[in-house]
Amino acid sequence: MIEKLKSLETSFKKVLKETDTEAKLADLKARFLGKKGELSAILKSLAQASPEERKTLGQAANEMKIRLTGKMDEAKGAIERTIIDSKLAADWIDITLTGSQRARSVKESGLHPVTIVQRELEDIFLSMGFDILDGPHIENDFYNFTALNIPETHPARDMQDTFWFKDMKHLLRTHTSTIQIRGMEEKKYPPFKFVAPGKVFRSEATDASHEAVFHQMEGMLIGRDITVAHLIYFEKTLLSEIFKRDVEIRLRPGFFPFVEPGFELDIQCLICGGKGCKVCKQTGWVELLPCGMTHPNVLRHGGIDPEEYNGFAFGLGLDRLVMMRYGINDIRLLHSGSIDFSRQFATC
Amino acid sequence: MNISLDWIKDFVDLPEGLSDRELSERITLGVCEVEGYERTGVMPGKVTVAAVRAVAPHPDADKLHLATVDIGGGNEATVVCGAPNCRAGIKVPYAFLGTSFPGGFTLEKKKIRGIVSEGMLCSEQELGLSDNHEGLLELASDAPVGVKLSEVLDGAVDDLVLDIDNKSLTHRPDLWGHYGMAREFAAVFEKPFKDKFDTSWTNNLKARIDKSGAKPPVTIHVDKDSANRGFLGLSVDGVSIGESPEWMRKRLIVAGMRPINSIVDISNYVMLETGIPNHIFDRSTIEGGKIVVRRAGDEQTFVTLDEQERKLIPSDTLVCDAGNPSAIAGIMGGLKSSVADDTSGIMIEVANWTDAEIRRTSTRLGLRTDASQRYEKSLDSRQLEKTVLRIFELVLELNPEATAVGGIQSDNMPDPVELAIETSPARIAAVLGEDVGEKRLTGILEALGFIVKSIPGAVTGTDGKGKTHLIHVPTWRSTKDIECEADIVEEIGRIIGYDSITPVSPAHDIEALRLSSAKIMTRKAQDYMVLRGRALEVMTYPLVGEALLKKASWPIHNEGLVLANALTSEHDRMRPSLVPSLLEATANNRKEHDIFRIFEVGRSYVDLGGENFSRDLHQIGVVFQETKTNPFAELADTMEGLLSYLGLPSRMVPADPLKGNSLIPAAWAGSHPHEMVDIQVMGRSRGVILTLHPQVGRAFKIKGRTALAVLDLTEVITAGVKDKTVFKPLDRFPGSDFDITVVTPAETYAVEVSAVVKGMKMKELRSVGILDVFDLGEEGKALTLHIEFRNPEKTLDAAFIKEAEDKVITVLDKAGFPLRS
Repeated sequence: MIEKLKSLETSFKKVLKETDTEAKLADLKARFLGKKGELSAILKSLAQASPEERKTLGQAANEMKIRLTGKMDEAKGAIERTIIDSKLAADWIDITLTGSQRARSVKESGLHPVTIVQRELEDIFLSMGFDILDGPHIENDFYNFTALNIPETHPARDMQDTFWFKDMKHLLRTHTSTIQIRGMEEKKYPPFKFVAPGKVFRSEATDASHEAVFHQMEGMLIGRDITVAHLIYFEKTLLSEIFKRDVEIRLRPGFFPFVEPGFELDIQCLICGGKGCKVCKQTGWVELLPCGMTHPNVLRHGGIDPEEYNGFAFGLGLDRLVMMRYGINDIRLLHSGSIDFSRQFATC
Repeated sequence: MNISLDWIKDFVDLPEGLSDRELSERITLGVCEVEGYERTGVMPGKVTVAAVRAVAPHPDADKLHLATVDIGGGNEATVVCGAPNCRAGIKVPYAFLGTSFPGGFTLEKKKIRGIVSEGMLCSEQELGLSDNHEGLLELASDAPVGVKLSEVLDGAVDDLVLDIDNKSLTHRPDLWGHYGMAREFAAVFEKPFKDKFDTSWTNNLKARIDKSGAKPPVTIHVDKDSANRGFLGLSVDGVSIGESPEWMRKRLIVAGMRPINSIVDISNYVMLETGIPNHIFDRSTIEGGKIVVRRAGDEQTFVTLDEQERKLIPSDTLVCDAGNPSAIAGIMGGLKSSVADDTSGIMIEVANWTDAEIRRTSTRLGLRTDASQRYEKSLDSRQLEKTVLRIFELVLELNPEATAVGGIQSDNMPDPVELAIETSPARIAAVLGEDVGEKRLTGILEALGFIVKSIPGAVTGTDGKGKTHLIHVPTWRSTKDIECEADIVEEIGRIIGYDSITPVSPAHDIEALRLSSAKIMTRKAQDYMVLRGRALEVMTYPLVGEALLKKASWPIHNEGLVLANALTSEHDRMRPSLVPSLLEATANNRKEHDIFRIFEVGRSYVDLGGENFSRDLHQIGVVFQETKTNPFAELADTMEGLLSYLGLPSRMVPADPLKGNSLIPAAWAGSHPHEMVDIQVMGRSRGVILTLHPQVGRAFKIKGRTALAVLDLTEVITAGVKDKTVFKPLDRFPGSDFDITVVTPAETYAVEVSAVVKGMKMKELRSVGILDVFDLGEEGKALTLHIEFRNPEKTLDAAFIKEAEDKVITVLDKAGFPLRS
């Protein structure tokens, strides 16, 4: 009897191998496992066996039935998949045809490079506890000059080619330093620190490196007992973060009426490492940002008592950083409105 | 400005062994920006004395010769030379191949018209001695052949010339001459300042003037209300005009001035030395023996030395004689007062003028001179006498027979401004973050001409803020530059070198900080436009011109926001709207691309007039450009999504282009007559979406279909937005959907139909949406609505659903939208 069972399983496996359609599968099931199938026939013949034999054989037959059913379900799954796959073979798309491969006039969308760099700087400043402020482009004489210790007769007004409106009282801000005063007025109670990015305007003939409209970022920190040593530490930290590497800086005297002492801050040339090259005009240093200790008159104009508080201020040329970052050779492109320009930066 | 180190050395002995770069760097770090430096009068070892033996014509060039020269040591060279004075027998400077000249050029071996020149014979200009390029420099006939040129030429001193950035001297009236600059060198390099112009020098020269005792031939009168700040005059007789000595000529050239004649050269030389401009009159040109300084008044024009007629205004100050003006004060003289070859009597004028007035006149005339740029810096009147005496000294040096006639005439000399600043070493250290100690501090200040005194009885105090010292500021610094304690801090800081300060982190304040709501909202808007709007961010000029506004048919021209000094008429005013700028950008981009999307986060400006003047508006402008498809719907979807993402509750309301809205002027020609939507945010019109009218599109040569949107964020970004989202429990009972198609007139907006259903106020009505619109031609449109009913408490029964559907049909029918049969 046991031989019969074994032989049944062998022939089942043999037939299963050739079962590749749902119809054949039904035949297979009927032949081996159906009511009139071979296994049923074997089980019926068990009636004549001895009780011990019946027990062993019954168990073996049941186990075999489970095995064969399992195999048959597997085969069923495989057959179904083959059928679906043959349909899918006729129903698929070209997966290489992604957006970037398609012929379209303009397929990119993205931020302007000034926005990209400005956000990055804002985030660095925010991480250092600086608030981000804003102010009007159209200013009056007070915020742009007088409050910044630049009285009407001051030669510093020569250095800035100011766009005046016809009333000769209002002007387009020549620097984001206007926010020094507006920021102090807003913040009122030191200690505080803030930056102000934005457009500034100079009546200047334009060429590849000069624009009448460009971007600056002003910064100011006011507190008690702030020193030049603090300023140096802060600028070094800031610039190392901006350039994503350790930078060497140096301060040299610079004249800006709203700071005293005032500095030009140079960074050691990142191209030659200070040895001297074309970029740094052989000096090893590149002029990067003007800064200084806030002039007591400016503090007074901002409503802060200079005997109690002091601080420092600095200005970053945002466009210059953008141009350095991306190797842009013409500043006029920034305000060109050109999509051929904008589509080159961090687009999706 | 050029600074000659040779000249500086007249006043200070510099340390040995400093390289040119180190020296320049120390001055840059401590005083002012050295933009470059150059060795001049190099006379490199390779320029020697040569004798011309023979001159033959160049076979291929009429104007060139072939000179055979003896270069010493028994060697000869054949040199191609074009100088007209090149002739056998003369001795000339000869440069070997490889010589580097002061101008930066290096002599290389090359053919000149087919013949190799073995070196070069030099002119004065080529050697940087003068600008004389008329011919070869002819050397003394006894000059030994083959020796270095520097050995036979007195003036050819090896010098280092520093090119100082004038802008870095804006605040330093005292650094516009070598004398003042030398004091800085002395302080920086900690060497004594050799003040040649000290008291005994002054007394000696004054003694030579006073001895003459004669009556002054020219008297001086200065109107007190003029721009004058002191006027000195000294008449000198027995002067002859000639060429100035080599050393003087050389220094003038190095400083960038052209030697002219001995008197003009002295005048310029002294200006470059003491930093005080001056004028030397030919006394015979001074009518009536007097100088009058006054405002121009009725005087309309004046012809300056450069033969230009200058228009005057009544407030300009003039230097005049008894009859006519001779100079525009502090800026430029006229044609006639200059010395001529036969001048023998001169008058030295040294005056000072009010900085702001000189600046104003010079800016107005567009005439910036060596004199005016110095006066603009607010010069010290106390330096005038020194300057007169120095000129007198040099006149005497070149004309030993000369005598002063009468004493120094003076008028309007102001009293010196005494300025003393209270501070303390501790207060200075508290700002620098570095304590230099009282001794060093005093040393630095004294080297710079300050006088430091301690205040008797004053103490620093426990807070360290007590002022213990009184710093007397020298007059040449007190005119403008030094005003307060912070200025003293700078003096110490720059001389010790900021490099010597150890960086220290400021103390931390614990403070929570986040981006402002305006910043967050702006960033979200930009991100949304990029990620969902699939648009490129651009920037356009906030300044526009009338031509662009007219092209865009934009009726508001912001006449009140027109610049007084625009660079071009294309950018002469602040833009009243983003729209014209965006159209211009669209037109420019349309030349290369047919389908694109752009946006700008920018400002437009409202011309308010009066006291308020103007207002900056923060806006976002968007353009969707297509060829055939109408981009309006996609743009409207994007704007709707943007507002939702910004958390701004909004409504899109069809607008009447004839009436305009908050951003589009009434009857703007650029608006499509039927496709304009008013965006209402927080109850007010704050935005617009419209299709560009093809007529305005044509004016810009924009082909295809253009939709544009502007959203004004000025108020909403500063107000900030609260997230008011509240969670609702999920539905537990199924709802029932129902589609219905009604017929509407062609001109009916779909939202009018859905609004009828929404207006039913049935509590089980969950949502109404427009599923489909189908054009029925003359019969109007077929509109299919998708309606959902739901009760959160229970499953809706069939009877209710039937009843609800009937109600909807009835309401729509009553509103004039019958069920489509």
